[in-house]
Amino acid sequence: MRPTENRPDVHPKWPSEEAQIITFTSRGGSATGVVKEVRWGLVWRDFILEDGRVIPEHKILGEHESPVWRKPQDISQQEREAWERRLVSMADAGLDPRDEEQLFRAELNQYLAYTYLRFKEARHKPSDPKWT
Amino acid sequence: MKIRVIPTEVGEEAERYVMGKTYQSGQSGKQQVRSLLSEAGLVDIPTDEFSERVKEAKKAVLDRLGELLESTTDIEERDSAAYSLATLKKLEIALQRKGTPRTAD
Repeated sequence: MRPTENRPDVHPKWPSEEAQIITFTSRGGSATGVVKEVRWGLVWRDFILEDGRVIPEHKILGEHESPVWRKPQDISQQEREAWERRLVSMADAGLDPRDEEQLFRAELNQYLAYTYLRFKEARHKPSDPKWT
Repeated sequence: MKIRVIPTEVGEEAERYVMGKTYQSGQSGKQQVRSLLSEAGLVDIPTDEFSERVKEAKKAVLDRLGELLESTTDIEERDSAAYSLATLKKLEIALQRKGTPRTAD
């Protein structure tokens, strides 16, 4: 399994590198899968399974506490634009976000969550810090 | 499978104000954001609501863009918002091309 990249603001690491099988909530109950890669999205981490399914971290079952989520201001323009280009490319290729546990759905979900946080935050920004 | 228990992140703070909402003491930053996104239906978007969520995101960007257009500063943010708006428009069109909503299986 390729673990998620290290981020200085996230500690300790979860899952451990030995953990390769996860159980997660899926339609109609729970399911399991072998993790191929863990990577950060625009807000939370996604677990990419060997069979190509993409499982957002908050759907994973088990006794764990996941790392903090990313803040909109942590996302660089370069990363955001690369994400946007990828989404448009997948949409143009005819991928459908209604397909469960697929990459396009996972990436679009994160992009919409990030966009909401980014612009709602900008419109309601109080004087005191809200992200710690 | 080995899963390590990770201590709750540092975040046991007093009441905090996040995007127009006040959250109770004890809610970590992540919990606050998760609550916000859950209320907006954006943590796990239901199968047939992506088009609607894209429209809502477009509105949020447009509202912000309207504010930015009134300002002579924040040109970089304005350009960035315009770029995101264009992305959302492309996504909206692509999703519309997918045709009629598919019912959840």
